Amino acid sequence: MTERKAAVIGREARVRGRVAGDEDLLVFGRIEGEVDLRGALRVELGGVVRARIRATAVRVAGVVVGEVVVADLLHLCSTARVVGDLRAARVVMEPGAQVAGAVVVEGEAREAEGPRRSFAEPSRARIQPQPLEATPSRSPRSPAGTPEPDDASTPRAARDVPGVVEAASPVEAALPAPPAPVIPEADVRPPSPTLRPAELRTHFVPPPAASAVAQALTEHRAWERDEGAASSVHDVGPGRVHVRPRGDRRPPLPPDERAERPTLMAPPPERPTSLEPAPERRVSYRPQPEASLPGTTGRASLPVERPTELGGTTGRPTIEARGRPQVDMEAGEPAGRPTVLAAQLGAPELGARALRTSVPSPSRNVASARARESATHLEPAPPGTRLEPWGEATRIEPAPEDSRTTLAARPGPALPLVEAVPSSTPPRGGSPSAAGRAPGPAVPAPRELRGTELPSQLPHPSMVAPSAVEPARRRVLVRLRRRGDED
Amino acid sequence: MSDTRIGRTLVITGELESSADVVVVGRVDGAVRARGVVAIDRRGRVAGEVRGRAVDVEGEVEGPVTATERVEIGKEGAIVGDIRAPRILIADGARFEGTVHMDRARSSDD
Repeated sequence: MTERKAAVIGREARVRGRVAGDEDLLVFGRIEGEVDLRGALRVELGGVVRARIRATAVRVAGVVVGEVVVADLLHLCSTARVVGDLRAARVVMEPGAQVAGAVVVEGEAREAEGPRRSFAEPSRARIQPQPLEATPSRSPRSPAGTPEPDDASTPRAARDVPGVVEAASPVEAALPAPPAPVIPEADVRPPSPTLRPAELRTHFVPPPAASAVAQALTEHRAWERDEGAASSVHDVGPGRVHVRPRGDRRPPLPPDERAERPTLMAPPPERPTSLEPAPERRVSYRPQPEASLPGTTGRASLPVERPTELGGTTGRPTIEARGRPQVDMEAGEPAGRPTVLAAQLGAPELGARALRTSVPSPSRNVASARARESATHLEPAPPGTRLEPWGEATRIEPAPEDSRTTLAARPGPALPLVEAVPSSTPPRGGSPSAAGRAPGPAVPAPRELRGTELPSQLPHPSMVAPSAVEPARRRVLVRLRRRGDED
Repeated sequence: MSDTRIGRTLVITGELESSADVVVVGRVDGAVRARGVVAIDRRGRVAGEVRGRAVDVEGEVEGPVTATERVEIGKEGAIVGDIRAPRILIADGARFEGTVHMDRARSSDD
């Protein structure tokens, strides 16, 4: 009576290389390399397999280092120590088993090229040199009517009974027969439907969507609080968030959709941006009369650009909620110099063309248009008044003493007499010369211009008496050309 | 369990070392070194060096065979290589091709 014998790697044995076969293998010793079996592999206590394992069924009670791919059942005993990724159709882990790696349970057994075997089902393979392709079905579930080859030599009862093997060769008979593998009853039972603690490790339950959204929202708020962000996140409901950019002036959300945090109507004080108004300067939807531009009524809209150079304005444009820029200007002291407009407005006979050419107005400036419009309808300025730039010149004030211009309206003849600068005219920003202040009908001789100095006080032809200025103007012009030619 | 048994369908591509007995029923493409008895079954094949305390060849061995006690070739055995052992037994019907060195007894570590 012989018994089925499986391949055995003894406790004192060590294999280096690749082990392949179509039978079961018991490892008590050590294997290093690769194991490719179409049967069952059993690593006993004390056995060490440092290899990539491919088998139909694997039972580990020792140490396995490497990737393990099992077609059917992977059983990890309590003394199992596995380092590597595990992939099997079924996985059983006893309490105490240690695994370091990924565990993938495919859920269905992959059909290997050969028959499916496990320790629960004794092998019925014939120990005969036969090619695998011609090997008949060795499944224990083969139809009863299917005759198996070579079955006449061995009775069916002997084949079906586990532990019954063929007659051994003389060499095998001389050696003591190894004991048959003892399979505990627990290995045969399929895993119970209820997950045991050991089995829970192999199951992955994804978190619900709501918790993922809440976690992401919490992380974003924490980051926004710490790092600052250009947007704010509002939790408007389960699984929904509403993101608004900073500076959004739209009305707040309804109460049922509003988050706990304050809305964006009140910008955070800790991070004021350049576009946000200062606390002391609020955006006024309806500008006050005193905050409006002098000489204008209502609301003037200016492009959102750099602060304009309107005389006397020190404010800066702000952004209205509706997207239309609104100028919130604070009229201050006229810091600039009175322009030619001051003199021109004192001459009602001047045309509108003269006004336009002398007013340094920025492009697309509605205020300038309004100023021009209002300026064209001004009454003749009474004497002794100084004209405010851009404003409705209802009265003209006398020019201050430190005024640099000689074009301001002065009491006297209706037409302001422009004095061609006879002597050294200070450059821009310089102190006015004494000669520039002195009025007089006589036109002094033009002075010599130095370098790139420009005649800043050249009168407009329509403003001066042609007889008095023209000779001087002609002379100045001639001199410019000569100077340019010389250079 | 200290004995090693290489099954019929098992193929080892590499070397096998053991301090106990080794039975080769399958195929070993490499060296087989054991301190015990190395038995090559009639269905076994070894393509490499075989070294043991005693070597019983019933199958085929292609390589040098070294034993500290004896080398026995069965009637269905075949050795293609040199034999180095103090005692050599060749049965009727065995096949052998190589040289024989019947040196004095030496350990398997040589």
